[in-house]
Amino acid sequence: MNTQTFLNEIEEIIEVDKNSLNGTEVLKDLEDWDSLALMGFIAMVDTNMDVTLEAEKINACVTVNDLVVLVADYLDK
Amino acid sequence: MIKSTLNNVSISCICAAVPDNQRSVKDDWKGEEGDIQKVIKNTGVHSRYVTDINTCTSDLCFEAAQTIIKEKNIDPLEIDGLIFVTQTPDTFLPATSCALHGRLGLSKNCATFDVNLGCSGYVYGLWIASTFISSGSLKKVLVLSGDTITKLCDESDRSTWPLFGDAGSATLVEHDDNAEPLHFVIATDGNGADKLEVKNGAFRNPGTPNLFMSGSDIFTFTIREVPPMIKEVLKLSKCTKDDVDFFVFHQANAFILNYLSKKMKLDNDKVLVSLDRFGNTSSASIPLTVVANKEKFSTGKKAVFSGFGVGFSWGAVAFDSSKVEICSLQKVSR
Repeated sequence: MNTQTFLNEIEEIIEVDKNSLNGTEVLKDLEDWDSLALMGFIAMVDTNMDVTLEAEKINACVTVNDLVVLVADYLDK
Repeated sequence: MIKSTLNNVSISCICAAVPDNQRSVKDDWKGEEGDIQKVIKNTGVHSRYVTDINTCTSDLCFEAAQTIIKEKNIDPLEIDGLIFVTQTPDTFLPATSCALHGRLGLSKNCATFDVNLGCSGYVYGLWIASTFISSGSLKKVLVLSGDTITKLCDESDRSTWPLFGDAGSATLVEHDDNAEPLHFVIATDGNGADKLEVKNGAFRNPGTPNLFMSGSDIFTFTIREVPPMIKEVLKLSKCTKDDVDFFVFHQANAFILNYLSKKMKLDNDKVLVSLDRFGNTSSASIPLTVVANKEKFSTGKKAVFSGFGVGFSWGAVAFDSSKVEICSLQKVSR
């Protein structure tokens, strides 16, 4: 999975248009980034990268790009 | 992970009871319409049964226990063990199990105690009962498990109010020389204690009790611990998932159940569900799911029960389910 497909997966979880995220968005400003989206995000990362993220680490992220950094080791370069 | 294989024990009868008050999640929701549709999609809960202020968990479990005693034609004086698994007891003291012992008219020759566990509590209750029976200390034990969690939920909290329901259950566990072994795995991680809790209302923090749940932490815990637990209990019982007719998981929520099934590549037909009608009923959810799927479950020979959640605490049992009798769902009105 590369960065763009990772962003596309997040777009699907929070139900926004494809390719609408550029990474600079502040998570708490995204309307549908809520506890349900968080579970969807953890499931997506577990499925695609075989990594179980701690909710605490996700909660520490401020922007979408912080999520990208969180899984950087598992993204295609 | 504790592994425990116990001989000469039979899970012989299961019953469940709910308050006679089925409530639609949608009708009960006081927030935005769009919000609740999304919540229902993720939780899978369309309705649940909710107690009135006067009905306690013990009342629901009492009804389930009485039904087993009547339908199995058991002399209550033969029961030498009563375990009440709950996080919503009648009183701080005495143990609610003692009050139930009196109401059920059991003998003085009866070990009776409460166990304070929720999602994993049913499996723990079966394990404790089976351990006593297998050791020869007890012969006939009633495991009563359930909760009236709705009393702890804030109606404005969309993570708990639309998810939880109330229910009680009773399971008869007996000595049986011809029983196939029961295989248990049991575990705990107290680092998750604050992820699902009622912080106030006891002695550390007096105040009004209110349920808090961090759904994402529970989800992470579940996908990290449950698949290895199932793998371990299958290994212990020397079988594969294909040999199991039915998996009955704690009914946490639909998102978790679906994801677990997908991750463990389980056949959906083998995973029994009841939360669409009953919600998450804590330690009653496994026996309630069996009762709600009575006809289907009765066709199976091998089952795995698995509870996981508050604590964090988790456990599973693999066993021969062919001899389990299942009573009809009881509805309690007061």
